Amino acid sequence: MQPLHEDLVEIALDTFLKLKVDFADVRFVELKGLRIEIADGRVKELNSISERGLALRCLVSGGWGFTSTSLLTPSEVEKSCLRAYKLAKSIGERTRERAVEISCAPVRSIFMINPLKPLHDMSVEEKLKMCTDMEVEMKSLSDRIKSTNVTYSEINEETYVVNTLGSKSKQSVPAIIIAAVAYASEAGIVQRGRESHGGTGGIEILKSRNPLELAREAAREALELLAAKSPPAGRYSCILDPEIAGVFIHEAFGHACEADIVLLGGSILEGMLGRRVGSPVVTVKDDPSIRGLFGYTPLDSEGVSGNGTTIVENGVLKSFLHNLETSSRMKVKQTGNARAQGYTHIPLVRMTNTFIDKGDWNVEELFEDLKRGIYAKGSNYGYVDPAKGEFVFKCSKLYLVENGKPKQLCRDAALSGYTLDVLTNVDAVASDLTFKPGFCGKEDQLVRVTTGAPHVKVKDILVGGMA
Amino acid sequence: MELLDICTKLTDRSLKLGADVSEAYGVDLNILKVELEKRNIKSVKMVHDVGVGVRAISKGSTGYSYATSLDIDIDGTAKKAVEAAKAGNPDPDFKDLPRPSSYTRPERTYDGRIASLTPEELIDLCISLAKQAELDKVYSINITVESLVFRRIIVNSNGVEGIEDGTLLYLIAYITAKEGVNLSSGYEGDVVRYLSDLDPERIVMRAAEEAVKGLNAKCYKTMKVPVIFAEKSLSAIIVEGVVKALNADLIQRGRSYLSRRLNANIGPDELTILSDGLIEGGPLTGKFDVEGAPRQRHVLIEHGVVKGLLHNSYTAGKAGVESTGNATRSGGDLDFRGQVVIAPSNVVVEAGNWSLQEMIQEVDNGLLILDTHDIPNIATGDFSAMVTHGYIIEKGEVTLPIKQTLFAINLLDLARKIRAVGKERAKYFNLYSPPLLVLDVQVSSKA
Repeated sequence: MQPLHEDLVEIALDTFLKLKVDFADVRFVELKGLRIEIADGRVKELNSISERGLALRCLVSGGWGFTSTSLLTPSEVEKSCLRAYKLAKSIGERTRERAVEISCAPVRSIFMINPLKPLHDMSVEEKLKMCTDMEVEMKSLSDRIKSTNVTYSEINEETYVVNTLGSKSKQSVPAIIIAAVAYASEAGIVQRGRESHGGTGGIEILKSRNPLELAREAAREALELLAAKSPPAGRYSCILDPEIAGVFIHEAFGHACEADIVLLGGSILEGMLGRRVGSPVVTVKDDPSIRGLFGYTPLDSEGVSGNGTTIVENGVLKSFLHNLETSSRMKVKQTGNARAQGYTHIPLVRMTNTFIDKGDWNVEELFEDLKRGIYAKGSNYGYVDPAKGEFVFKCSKLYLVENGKPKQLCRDAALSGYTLDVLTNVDAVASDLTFKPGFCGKEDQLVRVTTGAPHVKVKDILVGGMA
Repeated sequence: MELLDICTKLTDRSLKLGADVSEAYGVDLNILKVELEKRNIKSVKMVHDVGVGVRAISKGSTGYSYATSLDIDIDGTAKKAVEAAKAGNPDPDFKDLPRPSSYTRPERTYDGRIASLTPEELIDLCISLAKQAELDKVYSINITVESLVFRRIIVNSNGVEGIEDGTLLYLIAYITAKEGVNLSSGYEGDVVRYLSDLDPERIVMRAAEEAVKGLNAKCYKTMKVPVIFAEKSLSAIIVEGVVKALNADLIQRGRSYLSRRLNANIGPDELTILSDGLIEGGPLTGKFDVEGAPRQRHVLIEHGVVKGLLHNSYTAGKAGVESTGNATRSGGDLDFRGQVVIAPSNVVVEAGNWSLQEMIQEVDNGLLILDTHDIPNIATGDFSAMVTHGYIIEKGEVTLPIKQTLFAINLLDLARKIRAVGKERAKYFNLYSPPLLVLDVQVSSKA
């Protein structure tokens, strides 16, 4: 990190201190990266990513003012601080805000992830070749694979965060994610298969999952789906695979645990701390400190490091996820869950690595226990209305299960229910905890996250199907 | 240095460094955003985001780079794009970037009133709207108002040069209602180019009323029924499901369920859909797309027959036709960071002859679906979704709101089963559409 930026950060902090704000923080962000997209054997995108800027935020009489600037000169930074101050002050002058005192112990931390193999150790040409090889691999599986797409994204995010309480923290986090998509076609039917892998660190991430195997997996899924039927509509007992169970716990439950949503009256979990919200076999955690996972966040966007939060322990709600403001309002410890996309956004309460902890069943036992029902695999997407607790998530594949065996394959199924009903209806959790990288959107910001779960068995899930 | 100068210099420099053709897309964006959370103003955000995205093309291979701020390293940024272009493999399907052409000057796209809005005015607006939404049982009122004032600039080495100023104003209301332990929510929003085109009271009151009504929601049945799709649910069906499937890139690669259906009849005579980049005051109305091709009015489905596709310069060159002016960036027209992709501009569904009341009276037992947050599978056309807001229709009358109800239908089936097209068009973000009555939609619920 160049000293110039540290100087600018100090200028901003001094400006806020002179303005006598109740609290302020200054965040310098520098992003450098590369994005490759190959479609049908040709490079669709080769994008060199480079940006840097300052996020400036202050609290005056309960109101937050936020500005950001990419014009990195002392005078522009001072002007931006003054603008943020005036914005915050204008709230106090026009409304009777409930004041909040931000409290946190000053933190001085540095986390510079030193990958085993830095991102630049692999040339752009080698990265391109890897993507091209993945495409060739998909197409070599069958001439029914008609179209393919491979994306490779790497980003190194460096941040320097200081605040008026004396915190100063720096971090550098490199991350990689690759994805393969295959389109199979036969007799006028088109089906899609997708597989991805990613993590924080360097090129060694690409060694932990063979990119060619990942590509084959995507192609196999697309081919398999060509024979899939429309799913039947109705209510079923269900086994969720780790991917869709992970998306379920992130979407259907995790968002309702974000304390900013709780405080704005939009969560079914308001007032539920200490109460039973799920079956005793369910334990849910969010842990930003798990090295290597895609949601690894050693220091959050407010400079706070989180050591992991047990959200639900044996079915009882133990904690929400917090940023500095929500933890101050609720008078609890910070959890390191304040995250912002780039320098143009305000940190929101966000998940990091969120997962259902492993249980003591093995997967075979789960299937033996399900005489008739469905087995949902893979996830396309999911969402929840946290106020109602009503969720929907899309699995990429769904099998009808008879006598404990997955039989007929179905496609494009939506699963739905009420979050707390489903958590209460979980009757078995396996021990095969598996993680999956992804991105989470909230308001207009996207951040990298990990979802995780073992196989879980749930009673009474609503399946939306055409048959 | 001015943004236009930066764009011109980047384009020239890319050519000198060895690009065959090059382009620079610059955006200067001022955002003012006020958030009211649970009745209190929470934050005011003011962001000035300025930057340029450069595309350099060598033997058809495209390299990108971008830089933020006005104080950018012209040489370094151009070099990155050119090096990336040279690292890629040749693409004979790339023909050319757009050539200069005259632009139609769109109406009502820049409002000085929006450009001069102060934080104080937006704070006062939020506070007064929140007061109006204080209905009985309303528990939490959350409102976001965001004004955007922008200049976008396109310059390419073929001589295209375009500058356009614009304004946008977003209003989003998310309101919850509570009765005992029962919570319900209402969501409404819109975006306009002129302040006078926004009806903030209507938006906020509808969100509040939906939230309160939702407290009495009940489950439905599992069966096939007629459904009236209205309001936001049409955005999922028409914009995300039908129009996005007419993206020429997806069609050319065989990734869309509408591949090989050009000139085929897929729906009733009453069904006509257009992408209209010139509609007065439309959210995506403009002089040019992000490549500098003129925005235009383009028929996609006419009397039930697929007539047109959405093109950018790449897909148009590949097909030997003109671009339809539908190039955008992955994050939208104001994103200089993202890659060039294809998307509809404003989507217009021509009005039919049925009033909503006549449609409702036509249904003996069915649903009025107002909203879903789901999106269809474009490869298969299958659409399986949750009804986030909807009502039961019994004996020709709208009765209780529903909960815990899913619907599923393939979009080709949906088009074939359109029984009636409404005559009253509603605007929802970039969609202008009347309601549609569709027969035999599979619905599943807990009751």
